[in-house]
Amino acid sequence: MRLLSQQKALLYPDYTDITMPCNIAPLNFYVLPPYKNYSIKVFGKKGDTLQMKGRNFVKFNPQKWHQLLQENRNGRLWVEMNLNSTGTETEKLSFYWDVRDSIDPYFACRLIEPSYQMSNLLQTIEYNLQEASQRILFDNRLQTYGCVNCHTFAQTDCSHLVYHVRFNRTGTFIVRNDTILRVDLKSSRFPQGGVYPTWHPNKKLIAFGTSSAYPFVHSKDIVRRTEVFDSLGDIIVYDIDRNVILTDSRISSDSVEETFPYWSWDGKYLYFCQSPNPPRDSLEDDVDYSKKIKYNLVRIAFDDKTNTFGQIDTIVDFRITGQTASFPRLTPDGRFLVFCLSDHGTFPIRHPESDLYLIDMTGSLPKDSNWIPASKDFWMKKMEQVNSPFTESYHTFSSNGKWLMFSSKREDNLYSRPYFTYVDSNGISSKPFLLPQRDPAFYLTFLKSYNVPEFAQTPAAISAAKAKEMSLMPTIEVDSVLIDGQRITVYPLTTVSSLPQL
Amino acid sequence: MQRFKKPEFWAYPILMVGLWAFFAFAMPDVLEFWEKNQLFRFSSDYWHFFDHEPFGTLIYVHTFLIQFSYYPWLGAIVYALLFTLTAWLFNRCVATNGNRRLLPGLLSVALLLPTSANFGLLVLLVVFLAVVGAHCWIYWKNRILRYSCQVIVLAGLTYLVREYMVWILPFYMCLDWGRTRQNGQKFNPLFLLIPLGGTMLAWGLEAWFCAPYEFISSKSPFKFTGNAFSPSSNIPFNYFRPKKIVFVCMEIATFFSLAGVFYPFFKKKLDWIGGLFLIGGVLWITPIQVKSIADFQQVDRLCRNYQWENALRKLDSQWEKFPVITSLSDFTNTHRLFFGHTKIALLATRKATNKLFTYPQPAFPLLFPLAMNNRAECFVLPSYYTFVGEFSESLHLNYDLITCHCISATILNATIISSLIVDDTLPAFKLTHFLEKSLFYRHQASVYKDSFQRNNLPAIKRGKQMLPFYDYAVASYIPDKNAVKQHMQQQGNPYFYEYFISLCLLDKNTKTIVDEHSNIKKFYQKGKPFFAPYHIQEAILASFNYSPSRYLYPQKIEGISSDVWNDYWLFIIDNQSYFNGSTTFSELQKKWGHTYWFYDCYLTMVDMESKTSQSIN
Repeated sequence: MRLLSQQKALLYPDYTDITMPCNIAPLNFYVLPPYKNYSIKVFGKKGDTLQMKGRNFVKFNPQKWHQLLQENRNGRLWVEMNLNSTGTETEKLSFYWDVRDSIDPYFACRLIEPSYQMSNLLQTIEYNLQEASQRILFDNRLQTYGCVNCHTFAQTDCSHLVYHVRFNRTGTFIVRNDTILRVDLKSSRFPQGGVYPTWHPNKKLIAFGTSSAYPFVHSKDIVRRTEVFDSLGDIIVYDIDRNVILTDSRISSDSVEETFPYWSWDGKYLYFCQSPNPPRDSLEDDVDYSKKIKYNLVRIAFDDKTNTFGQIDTIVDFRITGQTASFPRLTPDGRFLVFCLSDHGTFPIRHPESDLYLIDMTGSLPKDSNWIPASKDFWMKKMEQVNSPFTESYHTFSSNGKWLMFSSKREDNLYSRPYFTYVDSNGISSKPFLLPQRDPAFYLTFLKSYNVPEFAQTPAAISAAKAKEMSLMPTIEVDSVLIDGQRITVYPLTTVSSLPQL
Repeated sequence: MQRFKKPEFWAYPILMVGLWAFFAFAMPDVLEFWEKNQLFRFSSDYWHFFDHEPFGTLIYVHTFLIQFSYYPWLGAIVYALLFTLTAWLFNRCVATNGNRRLLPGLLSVALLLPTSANFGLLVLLVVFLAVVGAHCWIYWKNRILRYSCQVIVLAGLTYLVREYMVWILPFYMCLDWGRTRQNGQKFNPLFLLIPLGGTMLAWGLEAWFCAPYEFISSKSPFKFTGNAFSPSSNIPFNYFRPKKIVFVCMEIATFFSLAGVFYPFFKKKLDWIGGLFLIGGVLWITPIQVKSIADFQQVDRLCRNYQWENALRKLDSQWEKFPVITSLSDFTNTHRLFFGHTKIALLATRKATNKLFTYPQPAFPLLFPLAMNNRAECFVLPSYYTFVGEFSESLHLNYDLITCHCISATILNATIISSLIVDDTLPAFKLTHFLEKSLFYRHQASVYKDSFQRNNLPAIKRGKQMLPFYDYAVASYIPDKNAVKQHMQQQGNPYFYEYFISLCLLDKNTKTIVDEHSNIKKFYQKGKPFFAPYHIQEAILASFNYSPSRYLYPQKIEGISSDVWNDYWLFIIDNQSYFNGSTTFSELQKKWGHTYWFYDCYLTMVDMESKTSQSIN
């Protein structure tokens, strides 16, 4: 019998000693060389035993697999394997699979080239976690090769969806049940439009970040590859019914950068990241300047009856952590907040040091040495089981708050892959596992990144064909902008250039 | 012994040997070109890349066959064998029907071969499949089976060959016609609905099942104006697509060969007109298409083998037809392709500054202004960045290219080498997996894996010497000039300084040129007296137009030859004449267009073009 660390080298993906949802698709894997032939036995306290023999690829019968998992829900499955290469050398392996709560059956993500420089072939797909199959929601080949991004559901409710299209047939597309809108959020006040959308639970408001992104490539720091930092970053809230943009002067000022908004599941707080504008020397290179940029993680209270903002609290203070925070995400009960912490800059996805941290928002958990101060009032803990030497970035909780899906580049430091981990009531996460595929060797030859994975409870309300139809819809311009309740006059960007010069 | 005396016995072997010799000796570059732009792999993932798309199966078979051109003599065997088999089967088809008038029409399809069509061998495969189907149908005795077989075969062919049905369908109809006539049966026009129905059936089924890819199924199989399946990932090189006139010639050839078949209706034998158009089409194709592909491949090979002078000599012939200065919009697609190689070769031979306007130079101040709109340009762009030591950018492009445009052997090798240079070994290791699955590049994978340990590849050693000392931002695909200046101080990468000075010249930044005078001297001085490259001398003199020092003693500036001084004063006089109206702009351009002064004075090529057109008008 081998130790766990040695077992890792024998199977790919590494599905040993993990916790899995009771409705996940078969965790197919393959046996790494020099071993070829295998026999496998999977059994639990209840139900039949799965037994197979074969070469290289371990592929389970989906029907028997699901039956076994359902029968052993909240229990443990044992896996015993015999491996041999030439018929003489035999290896015995044993590991376990813990079966826990179900996971949302779908997630949507964008498939993109790792450098993000081309949009020749972009797809948003919907992946069925129960069947390990996928459906295309958006294919830019159908829409003159534009760029699609920031697809977001309303708290995993797929009847409410928003996404952006850039370059060709542009717009922010909002789907609310059967109602579809194509909105141009760009105006003379917020010329950059909206990014990073997040739905308020009342499904009438969508918060966006709005900013100019400055991407550049490192000449030497190949590990970080591309750096992106924002300028003119503000938070805006789009009221769909009134066709109005709301904001507050505290979250839309020029002196402070704001980005990555996220509504709490009860809609009482809007979480986002905020950074003071560091001074810039005119001769300063972008590389040096980007190192000065560090974001706090803050939240602002929101009253959805009066559509007014309240007090701002700092959750993660960069002066204490020394690092920049991004992508706040909460469990539905609001107990845990998970976010990324990286050295500097706005965009952590190219930072190998980017790791996931967890904050207990109730403060009820006993604080051992793993907890470190995040700000004056909050403590954070590095998710040791989840993180790797490479980037962990975009993450999201399932609707029952038990499963955290995150993207990681741990395999090759280049391609993002979706991983899943179980977070228990004490905030302790299990060993993450890679998204299962029907073909166990799929990831070895798949040269695209899984970008912005978002859970969904039902199939999305759009398809690639429908998205193509939507792209031909007329665009609605935003009526007005309200800052601190005061209406200010705005012009669509198309007419700004024709206005008389003052 | 009797059969040895029959000409048919010898005809096909002779044809095959002749074709082999033709492909192996006259077109090895063309075969190499197609081979370098794919990487067939014996793995399920490679098959899955094609299996869900119409036309994909055929492309899969095509790439399987094209991989043998790794050795051109072996690739030539594949071409010759397939061609000979097609000819033999075709001859049997038409001989049975007693109608050889189809020959020009069918040959017109066959001759859109590697010389021309964007998929090369693919066209031959299509013809081969069509003829195999026809052959089976003709020799099938049972009538009902034959007709139903025809529907199925044509439906399958429609799925596989897409737009080529525009030729195959008439061919099948003619076979029906010829067969009924030969058997003395009365021809029933309704019978034509059978092959048509087969095609429409496949099209309809595809439209039903291929959603959401309606852009594929919505394309008619009868419309031959472009690829029915047109995602960029599967179009190797649009540049080498034959012009429309070639297709028109071939379609006319087909039409008249059909007219020959329907002779009783036309009353006159018109199939000879088809033959004429066939010859015309071939004559049109061969010189243009073959030469373009072969030239590109030769230049690319020379550059990749660091034979820069030879590459420049080869490139010179490409630019002969161009005026001294031109705008990017004037570039033909083929010349855009050679532009990248020209710039690389100029940098490598350290002639970029000296020959700034010898080759076409677009308006904006970029030495390498190719957009990444298609694979041809993407093919060259990362190589360029790699050459000047900008591995970071080259890697970014390559990693995107791999997925956007399929994996080609060239791009994959370049990506692995760039990754190894910057010690990004994990992705490099991942990519060697693809090489291991190929037939002819397996050894290359082991070489790379060995270099993980020993660091013994010359290309990697050279690259490591050119890595920048410190980290700076590379924006908009073009290195910042200040960064380049730092970069150039490194030993082992003189190209960067050449690049830097070229950028300054193109940017019309004469101040930088003057400030750089001591560096220029250090870099270019090979003996005494020192003379800077011609255009740098021009730039230094041009700078006096904007500086009070023009009234001082510029003759004392080191590095300016008396010839340049004399030319400068002549240019000033002629330029004055132009402003006085005694000289036209085109005359001024003709005389001074190759100088930096002219370029400096007349801002952008767009301005210059408008002035040229004004002076012409």
